Amino acid sequence: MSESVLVTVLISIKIGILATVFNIPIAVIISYFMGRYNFKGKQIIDGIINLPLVLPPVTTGYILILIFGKYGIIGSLLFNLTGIRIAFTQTAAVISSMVVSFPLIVRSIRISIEMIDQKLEVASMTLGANKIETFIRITTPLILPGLISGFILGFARSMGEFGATITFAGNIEGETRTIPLSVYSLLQVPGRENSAALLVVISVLISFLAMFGSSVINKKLSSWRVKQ
Amino acid sequence: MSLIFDFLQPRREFDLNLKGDFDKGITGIFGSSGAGKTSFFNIIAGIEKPKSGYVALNDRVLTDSARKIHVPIHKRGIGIVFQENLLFPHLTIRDNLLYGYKYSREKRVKLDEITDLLDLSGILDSKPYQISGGEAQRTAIGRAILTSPDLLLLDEPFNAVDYKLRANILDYIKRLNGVLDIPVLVISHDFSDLEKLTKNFYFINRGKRERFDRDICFQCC
Repeated sequence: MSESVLVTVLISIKIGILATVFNIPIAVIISYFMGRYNFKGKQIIDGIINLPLVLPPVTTGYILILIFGKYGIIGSLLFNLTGIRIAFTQTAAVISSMVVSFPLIVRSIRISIEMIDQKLEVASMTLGANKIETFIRITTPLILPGLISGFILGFARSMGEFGATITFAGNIEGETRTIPLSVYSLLQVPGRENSAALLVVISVLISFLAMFGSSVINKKLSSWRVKQ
Repeated sequence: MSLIFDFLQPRREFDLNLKGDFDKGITGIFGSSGAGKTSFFNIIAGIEKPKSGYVALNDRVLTDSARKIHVPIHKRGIGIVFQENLLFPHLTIRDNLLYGYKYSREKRVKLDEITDLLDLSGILDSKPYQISGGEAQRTAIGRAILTSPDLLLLDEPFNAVDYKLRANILDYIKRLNGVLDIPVLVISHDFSDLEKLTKNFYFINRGKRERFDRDICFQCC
């Protein structure tokens, strides 16, 4: 395997894992409130969360530039105060992946939160556990299958992210060039089809392993969910 | 050890307006379905907040709408066994039983005592889906008692078990009452079950306490 292929794979995995790890806690909190409470404007928030699912990723990337770019709403503030630039860095690639995969993660977590019998949480509180302890000891283990499938789905989506990344993070080798960007770049150069094919195989393998792993874990977890 | 309450809670069809005090020992809470028995438990346990009134347990005010006091559920020290025993599906019977143990300040009962008393020693490592309805009911009762509550509420403890097991559960509750020195309130819509447990009854009809009369009860419930 050539060095550049290895670097590309490692960058992809790193960005995928970081994006998913940062997304999960946010997704749990959002899913919890969306699944449990009714409030004004809930549908609007739901729409905003799901927007990246239907928006062309390139558009999402452009919106991210408008927000985090050097002249963007948040980006300019950050640049003027700290000198930190977000757009066209690895951070931007992580943010792109986060935004695009977020709705998928929220979906799978929210379904499992809505499936929990809330009376179990009340029962936990009558036994002396406060809300946070109940969340840790009852809610979290019961949504674990949703968390895992959310993690896998989010990771897989991040690995496949192209449009938002190339727009907002660029296609910088060794920095933001992930597997899909690399495959695209290699196909532009005559004679580099072999490297592209190798990356395709690796990406199929990673995706397959992720899906396989999640179904094995889910099967194990579902043993005690029978008759729940 | 006593529970005192007087509260009002408007409901769709009628107002739930109950007043009373219970000492230690078993009291049967009796009434037809929809009479307000479960809401009564929810208000005592802090799951529902009454519109007005108060609840006090052993001179400790738990709810007092006038003084805006509402002690949260987990700080009330009230054990409650729900109709659908609500065991935690991801935990073994042992972990279910010990769930609230660490939160109780006074540990008046031990795991061994409860498993002996309720015949649960053989299933401690099982998961809730592997045990029978009667065992699940007893686990739910044991789990509540292991928090060393100051008051025990049992909501239709005979509902989930078949007829043969009822006498069994009745027997366990009687045994427990001999060990615990707290008020125990048992909800049932079946008078003959309650009669085997206690001579003290609290009859609820359409949200109000009514004078208990055997003949009337048999007609309406």
